[in-house]
Amino acid sequence: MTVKITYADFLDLIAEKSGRSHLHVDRFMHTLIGILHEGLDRDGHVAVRGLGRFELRWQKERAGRNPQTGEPIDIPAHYRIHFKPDAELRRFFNRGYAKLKPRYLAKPKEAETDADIRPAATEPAPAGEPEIRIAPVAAPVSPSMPGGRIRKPRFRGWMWITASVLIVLIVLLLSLRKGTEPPASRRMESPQVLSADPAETSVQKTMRADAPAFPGGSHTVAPGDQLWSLSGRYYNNQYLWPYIYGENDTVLENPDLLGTSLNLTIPPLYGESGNLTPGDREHVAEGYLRTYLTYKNAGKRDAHTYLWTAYKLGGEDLVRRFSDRIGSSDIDRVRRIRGEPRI
Amino acid sequence: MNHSEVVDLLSERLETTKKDVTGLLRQFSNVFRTLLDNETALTLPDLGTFQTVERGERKGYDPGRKQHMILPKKRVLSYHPSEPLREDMKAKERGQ
Repeated sequence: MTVKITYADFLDLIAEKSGRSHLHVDRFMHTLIGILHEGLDRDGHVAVRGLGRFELRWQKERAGRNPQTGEPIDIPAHYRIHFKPDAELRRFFNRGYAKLKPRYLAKPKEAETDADIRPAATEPAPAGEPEIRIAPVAAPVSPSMPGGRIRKPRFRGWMWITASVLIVLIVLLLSLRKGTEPPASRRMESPQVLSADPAETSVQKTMRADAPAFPGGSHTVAPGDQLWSLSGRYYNNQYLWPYIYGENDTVLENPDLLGTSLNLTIPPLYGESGNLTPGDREHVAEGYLRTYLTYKNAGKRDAHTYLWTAYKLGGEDLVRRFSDRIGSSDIDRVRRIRGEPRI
Repeated sequence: MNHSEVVDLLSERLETTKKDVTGLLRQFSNVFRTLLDNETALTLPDLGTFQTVERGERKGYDPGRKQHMILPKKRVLSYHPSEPLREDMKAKERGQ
């Protein structure tokens, strides 16, 4: 706990130690501080033995924020007054901690990162394009050169860029030809290319019309995950989260709280968000209805809005299926609300 | 401005010997460090507030060993310049 001492008490202490009058010490202190001001003004720094060094440091203009309102402001360039205590003083204050030593953290393994680069350069070779064969030809040349070890990874990185550009070109060509006449030999190549680069698989997926927009899968909850964020990630539409909830309501008691490392089923979505297929609408409607039931049991005030979406998407059929669990006042209320959910 | 210049100016203005001034400075320094060591904050008029604080562990990097490390906690002196001194330095900025 820090206590404060008044200036007068401080002067008394010095007066007592030095055997001088309070007034004399006061005059001494004022003169000293006056000289410190002068020194800073004249040279920009003053040093006093047994105390330390005062110094002006130029602080460049920088962006800041008003701590009260949060609005951005420009802090103009100015002098900052810095005080560095004497080395002796620093040692003195720190003597209780001086025995503490820094702890080194584990060294990052450089061997592993090196190994990661190597297969990357050899990987494009199976694609079988004549240009890619430059890689094995060029590789033996570099070690003979002085400093070849440093050059090699740089050269390989360049190779990898050209190789990936080639792969993208091949995939584009393949996907264009697939529409007209798919030759058997090309087909053999395409799965290899697809497995090589995950970015290309998504390109292929959107090209196919019959495939689902999201084929379904599972997700292990990581810290920070929310149903709406998962829905945004997998379906490109955060408002479809009740669909995920409806599929997992046996393991999830509260849709607003996800337990970490919980394994969730992400159901498939066939249409695009904004253009759902009738099957999708039915499933999503049921998800919304299950969300409504959970929220209603929890006493949430806006639970009926979920019922409204379920009613608009699923119609009277769905309401009939769950009629024993839906509150009659809620369904009457929902029937009166017009409009269409934007899903 | 260095220490001997400060002592020269002090003895000149207080009309005493340099020995006298150095003695007072030493007493000042002794009281100063004893107070701060006992977790007392001290404000000197027109100069600022001095106090010691414990700086916690922090991450650092040893460029020689190319290794990250955790630097131990430490006791450091904190200094906040007083308003009149800052105003003086602002005046200096404007003068330039």
